[in-house]
Amino acid sequence: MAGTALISTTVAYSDVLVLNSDVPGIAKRSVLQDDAVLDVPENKSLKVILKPSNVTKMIKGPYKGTAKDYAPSALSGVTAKPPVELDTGTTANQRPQFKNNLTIIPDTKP
Amino acid sequence: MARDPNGNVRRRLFGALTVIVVAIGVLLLSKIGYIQDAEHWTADWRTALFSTRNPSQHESVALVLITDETLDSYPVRIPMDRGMIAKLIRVVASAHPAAIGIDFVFVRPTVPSADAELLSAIREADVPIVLGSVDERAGLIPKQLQYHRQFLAAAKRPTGHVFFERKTNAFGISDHVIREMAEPIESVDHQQSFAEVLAQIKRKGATPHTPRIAWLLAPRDGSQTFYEVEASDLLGEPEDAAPLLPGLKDKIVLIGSDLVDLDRHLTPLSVVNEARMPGVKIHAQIVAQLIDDRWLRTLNWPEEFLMLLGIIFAGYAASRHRKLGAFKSTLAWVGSTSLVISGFVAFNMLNLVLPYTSALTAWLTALRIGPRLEKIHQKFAAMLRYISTNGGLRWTTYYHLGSTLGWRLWQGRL
Repeated sequence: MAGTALISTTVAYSDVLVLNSDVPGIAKRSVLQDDAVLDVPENKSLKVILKPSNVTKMIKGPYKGTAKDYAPSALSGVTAKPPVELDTGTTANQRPQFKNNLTIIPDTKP
Repeated sequence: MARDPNGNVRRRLFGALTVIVVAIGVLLLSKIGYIQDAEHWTADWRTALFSTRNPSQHESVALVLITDETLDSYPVRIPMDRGMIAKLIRVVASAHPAAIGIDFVFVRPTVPSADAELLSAIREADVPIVLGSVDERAGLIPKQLQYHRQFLAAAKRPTGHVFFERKTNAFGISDHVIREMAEPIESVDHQQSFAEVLAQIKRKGATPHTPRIAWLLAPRDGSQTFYEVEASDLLGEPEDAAPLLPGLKDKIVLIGSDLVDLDRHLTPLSVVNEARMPGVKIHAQIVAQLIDDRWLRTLNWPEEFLMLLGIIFAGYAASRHRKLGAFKSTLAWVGSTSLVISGFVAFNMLNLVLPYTSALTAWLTALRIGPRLEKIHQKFAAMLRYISTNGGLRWTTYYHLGSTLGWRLWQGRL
């Protein structure tokens, strides 16, 4: 992220609160100034809440810019589907490691 | 009756009859098997690309999601710790939402103190709370259903059923895609859906005009469709939760799970990447649709029949036109493109999901049969003559005719 000096720990009137992040250098619960330029690499993402509008955004890389300006196109989610997916033929009792390629048969509500 | 030496009247009547028969045939085909699947496929793409995109996040609906991270520190994952759910309800209620919807179905006792704490939290909250309910169709064993009903009665809060509707395929395996909301349950006092009960708290009289779900796409400003926070962020230290609470104020807040292996469903939006949507997010979509009074509809049978009749007549007339008929490929392409454009226009401007595949089938069939009408007419007349001269309604006649036609068809000579 450009300008680490733009990170603080308390939320001011017009700030960006990081709710979740796997971007190196941007920790969960850190507070960014609203003009901080984020550099999110490919396959990385962070979830933020913009203040004072109280709007949540999931920023997916690659992206370089401010959180406020992040606006992917309607077609950004259109990707080539994997030719094969896996179903777990067992009763899972913990979170499987290969979450992104998993197809699960719907079950009843917990 | 006037004389018809050239058979023009008869030929025109036969043309009209052919148009009607083809329209009926395409209509019947569109309701079964693979044409139905293709119809869903094209409609799903229209939904995934051209549904409503708000300028920013929805102003009336928010989500609080219990994820695997939330449950990671608890010794038991399912059933979820009811003390944790109770605490979550209290924290959310402190944000003064318009209402809280709890998208869980409680079907068995857990730790007595936690069960009691949950019931207290539900009863004592000073905001409207709606609980999800199910009936016999959920497949619970009688003891679970009995507990579920006792729990709802003890909670003393409004309830709504949490079912979605999924159309099955009469001939193949259904695609398991949620496209419609479920009707009210008549056997339980006209029990409305969970989403409908919640939406009516925000907008009096909110009710679905059609069963089809009118999906919202991600807003244009890059925000998430709904204000969305993880339960773990609200369950920690109060000073950590405090910045998140204003986003829940005056909204319908749905509390539900976003777990990797439970309550996840295919929707029309899955056509893009096969991603399954947590049930609570589908409820949120329906609540938003009912509050916004948005709706989508499909054509009913008579409307679809009339549409097909018009398309087939147009294709038939164009293919027999003295000048246009010479450009068959161009007609096919122009017609197909026009149908695609009409589908998008109808979806965006009239909230109508046009049956593109059956319309295309009708158009191409009409282009195919138009120039061959005389030939078809001759064969049909020959068939009638054959029947009349070979014994009328005797089964052996039909057997002979069928085997002859079948054999010719097999040889490619028909």
